[in-house]
Amino acid sequence: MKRYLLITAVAFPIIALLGLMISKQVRLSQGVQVVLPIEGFDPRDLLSGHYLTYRINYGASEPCLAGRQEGQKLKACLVRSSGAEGLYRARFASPDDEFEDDVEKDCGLFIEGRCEHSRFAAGIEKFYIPDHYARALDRAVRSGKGRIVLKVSESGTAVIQDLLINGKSWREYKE
Amino acid sequence: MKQQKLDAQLAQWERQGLITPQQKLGILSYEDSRRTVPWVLYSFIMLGVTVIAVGVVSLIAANWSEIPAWLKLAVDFALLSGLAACLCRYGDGSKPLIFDALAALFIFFCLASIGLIAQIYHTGGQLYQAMLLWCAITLPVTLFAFRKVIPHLWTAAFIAAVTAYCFHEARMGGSSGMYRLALFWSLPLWVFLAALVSRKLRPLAVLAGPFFLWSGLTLINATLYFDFAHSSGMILEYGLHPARLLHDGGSASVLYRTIDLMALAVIWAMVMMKSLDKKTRIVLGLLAALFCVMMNIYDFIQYEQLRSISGSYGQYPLMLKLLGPAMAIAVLLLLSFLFAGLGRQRLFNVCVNLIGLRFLIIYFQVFGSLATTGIGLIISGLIIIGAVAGWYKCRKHVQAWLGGLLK
Repeated sequence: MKRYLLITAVAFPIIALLGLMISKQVRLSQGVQVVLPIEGFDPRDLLSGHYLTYRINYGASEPCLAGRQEGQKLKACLVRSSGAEGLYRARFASPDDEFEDDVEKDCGLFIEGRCEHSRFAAGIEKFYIPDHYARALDRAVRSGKGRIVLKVSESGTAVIQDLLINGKSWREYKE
Repeated sequence: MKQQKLDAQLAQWERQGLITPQQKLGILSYEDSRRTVPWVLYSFIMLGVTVIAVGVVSLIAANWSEIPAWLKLAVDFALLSGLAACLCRYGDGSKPLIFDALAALFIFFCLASIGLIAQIYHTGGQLYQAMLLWCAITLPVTLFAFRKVIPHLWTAAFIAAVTAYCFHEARMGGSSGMYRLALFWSLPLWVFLAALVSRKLRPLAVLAGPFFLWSGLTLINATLYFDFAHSSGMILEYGLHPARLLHDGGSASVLYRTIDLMALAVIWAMVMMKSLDKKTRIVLGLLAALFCVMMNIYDFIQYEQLRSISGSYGQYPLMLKLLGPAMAIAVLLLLSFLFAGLGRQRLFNVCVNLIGLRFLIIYFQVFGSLATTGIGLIISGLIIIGAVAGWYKCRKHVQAWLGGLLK
């Protein structure tokens, strides 16, 4: 009996981590590809190494500045702009707008997030990079060359697919 | 060392005719059969495992971009599965040291795997989320550990995760901020209740000791904070008030009422829990009540008014200055009673020495000159000796009265 319990105990974390990995992979392989411009800086995470953390430029005024509480859920309705790059822009409902409840109906594609530190955050504001690329990529992002490629599902969940610098994947970028 | 002491004692008892040579051999063979792994060896092996694990986490954090993501994940899961298989192999208890070392490595490897998945899929979660996930998935393995090191590590990680959750946003805004702050400041009581629950539920029993320890540590932490904030005057100078982080309509009353409710729950548990020694229950109940009083002082005192009246540190009210050490000494006194009741002489001595040290510091904080400090200390010493003498004279009456409270 104890042996079976032990097998269950050691299998549990492996199954949970596999589940986590598969759910991320499924989200990445499905959904609509969206490219958004970013601006940012470079801190460090002790657990997973260097990452770029950035502010996504949704092309709209910040929706969390007034009339919304910290932690309030919010949806960014995505619309493809007409420019050559094919970037997306977002529009947000104003706090007293009825659009907020109907966004799923009105909007073909949206990202769900919440107000954190008076900013709209959707859990896609970090991009992990190797140590030796950190400075160069940080400079590139600061100078406005960065774009983030996302996969957005029908339910409004977004996962990061790639970081583009001057329109190419960060791996190909040379200063 | 322990073996030499046992040999010497047995030889002496044999010489005195208290035991026969056969009995001596019997005792030696029994002690030999129950001999466990030396704690020094165990501690160093666990330290080695921890260092290896930190190395693995650093290797993953280096982010080897040249290696494809699928390969990194495949190696990670293969290593995790290999460790899991080894754990099952040694799960029969034949090699407890190896099992615990492997379990620690497995648990740390789970953390490294969370880091790797976060890195590959660029998850934007908070540190507390990763830590809580880690604690949740490794709890079952922790319960199989043979010694206390792994349960202690797990409990420390859990407390750290809860603290990280409480402060993942510097501004405690809205209702969630209010409850996070209340959770943090009532941590000694929550952790104590977790210890009681673990003690009751057999599978979680290994976590009871570590939870009791953390309950004590968080209580001491809160007491030291209270003492420092009041005796140094920083509560007025720099606003070290627990509710200072509340913003955006957060109500401080939630903080105090949560503490009141939790303290009541602990006192109720102490009244109902007959399996614990009566004296221990009384002291623990009093500690919970004292903690509740200490935290409510933050609510009762109008610090803002005092700040405007006192103006500068020079006019800082003496009563406020004495409130900190008074609380610290009261908590230490109750802790010393608790340890005396549990037969923990060393911990009792530590508490008594800390009380003495705190008395000494009071006089340096409150009175400037050595003469007044000297007189104050002599009076304090006489009060302590008088109180102890009074206690010895009336202890039976007091014990009978305290015992009657729980009948």
